[in-house]
Amino acid sequence: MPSNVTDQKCPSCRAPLRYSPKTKGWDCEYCKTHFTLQDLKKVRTEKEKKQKHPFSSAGYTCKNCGANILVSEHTTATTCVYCRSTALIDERLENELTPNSILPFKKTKEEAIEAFKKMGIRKWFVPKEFTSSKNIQEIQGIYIPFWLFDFCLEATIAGKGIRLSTWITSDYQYTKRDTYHFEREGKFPFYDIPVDGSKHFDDALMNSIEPFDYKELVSFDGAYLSGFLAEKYDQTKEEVQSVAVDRAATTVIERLERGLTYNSHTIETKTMNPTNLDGEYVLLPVWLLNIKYKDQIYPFAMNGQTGKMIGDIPVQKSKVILFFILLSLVLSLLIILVFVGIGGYVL
Amino acid sequence: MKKIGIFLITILLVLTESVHASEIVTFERTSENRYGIPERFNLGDKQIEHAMITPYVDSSKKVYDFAELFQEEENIKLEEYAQKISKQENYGIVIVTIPDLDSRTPREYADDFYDYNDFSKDGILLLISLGSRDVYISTSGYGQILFDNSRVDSMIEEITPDLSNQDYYDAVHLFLRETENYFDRGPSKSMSRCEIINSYGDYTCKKKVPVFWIIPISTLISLLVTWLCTKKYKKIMLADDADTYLMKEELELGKKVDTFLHTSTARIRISSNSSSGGGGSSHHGSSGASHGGGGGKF
Repeated sequence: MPSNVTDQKCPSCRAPLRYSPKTKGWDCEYCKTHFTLQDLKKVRTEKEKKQKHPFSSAGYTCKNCGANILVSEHTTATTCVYCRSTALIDERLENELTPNSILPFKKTKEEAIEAFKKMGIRKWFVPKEFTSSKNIQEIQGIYIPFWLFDFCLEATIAGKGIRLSTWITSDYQYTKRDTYHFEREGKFPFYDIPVDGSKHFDDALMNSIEPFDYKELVSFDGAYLSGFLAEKYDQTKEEVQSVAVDRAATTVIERLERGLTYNSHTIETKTMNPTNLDGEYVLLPVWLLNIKYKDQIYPFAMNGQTGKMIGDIPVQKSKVILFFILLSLVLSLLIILVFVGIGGYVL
Repeated sequence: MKKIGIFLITILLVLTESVHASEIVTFERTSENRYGIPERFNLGDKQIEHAMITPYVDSSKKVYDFAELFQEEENIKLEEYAQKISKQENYGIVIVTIPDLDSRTPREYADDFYDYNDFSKDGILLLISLGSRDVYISTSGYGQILFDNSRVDSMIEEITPDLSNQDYYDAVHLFLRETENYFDRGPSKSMSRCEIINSYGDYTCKKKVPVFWIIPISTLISLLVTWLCTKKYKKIMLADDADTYLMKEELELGKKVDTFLHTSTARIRISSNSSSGGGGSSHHGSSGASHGGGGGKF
């Protein structure tokens, strides 16, 4: 039996209710009423007293129009293709699959499109119509599953260091090379290192829109998902924690190396031990855009909270070559001018 | 019998005597003729002092064989050759041989001989000092530009073997041939941008803009700049550090260990600078004139 997919419905007029980043609440398109989380919670508990939700595993029925909708294995919220209302797949949000927190969207779809259009400004090599909004093939507001890791990294490094000193006599230049063995250790606490918990989303792209301001994380409530897409994690905490530890290790090694006063050194052994490791499952807001230009897809992402827009912009080769040639000519002429004008050189 | 013998010996002596070069005409230096110092030089004590110990010769001649190294015929041939070149190029060509130096160095003697006689302001002089076995070339005026250091060194090297062999005629003839050769070739590339700036024969040379180096260097710089500008278009990067997530205030550093293991010392010899090469380097003679040149022993 198909699972019931609940949608947020306006308590007053039963129209679909979407979360609005602008008003930080839920606005009904039809009766124009605004609801806060408390309002919705009150309505929900009253409703739950009356209803029961049966679950099953095959196929999903849109609660609004009764259509059978296809969802991918990890989607937790989607839009019904028939009636365009938000469909929340409850059983994927149950128990240990319930996110600890969610960072609600602060940027709207319009703001994402604007940010994309602005990316071409002050970049000389961008092909002229790349940042036109008609190239936006697809734009989605998605809550992406992340694991936030807290731990204290106890690290030690050991190796050899070289100290050089040189001096000159009338006939020779001497270089003395002292070799040392060094050890350094420290305890480094890290908080909330984000690791993308889904294989569907490019880790590099997700790294590039960091950082998020975690102060705005709120306790999870399914209501926030309305109007957006969401996915649950498909990589467990244990599977991805090494990513966080490795990133921390790079920082830690750089820090420990600051305490070395050698001319050059090599690290021979290192130990990295994360203690008090804790991972929190959160949903972070991201606007994903797929830009199609000259038969190639360019993925762009905007941090749904800070508005930081990242993507690889194609470079127009002809503009680059022109720039390079002009620069070489101008530079050559300038240098020659300096030689002739100031140095009194002759051609 | 005795009378005929004496007569014959006298004839012989007279003949051998006349086979040698004819006496070189010299004049006196007095305050009336300005001590023979050309107009373009000052009449100071130093100039007079040096001029007085320099022979004042008939500057229409070219070969002054005080050391009597050449036979009459050789003298005439060299004189002809030198005159021909001198007239052709309008340069002073002077050959001087002396039995020995006085208190002066070969350079000083050569410079003075040229300056305190009425030779053209541009010229070249070859000095051979038999007693001290010195050979020296002194250049004046434009001669400094045409006969630069490396050319002078090369000429000295060429003629020294003949001088050591006492083939004095061959040496000087070779010198004149080389001189003619350089006149035909004109100044060397590095000296071609030089010109005389005053009556003392001082000169300056303009350096050439090293276009050959400027073009590749500016191309490389432009390449770097262009690359840097396009770098910021590729923004998607995997993060490899967690700097923003480190709680700096709470970090603790543990013990530090630095243990000395061993040492080694290496040395490289500093080579002293040897200045050489072509180009010109000049000095000033007692007259104040700028001269180039070089010499050696034979």
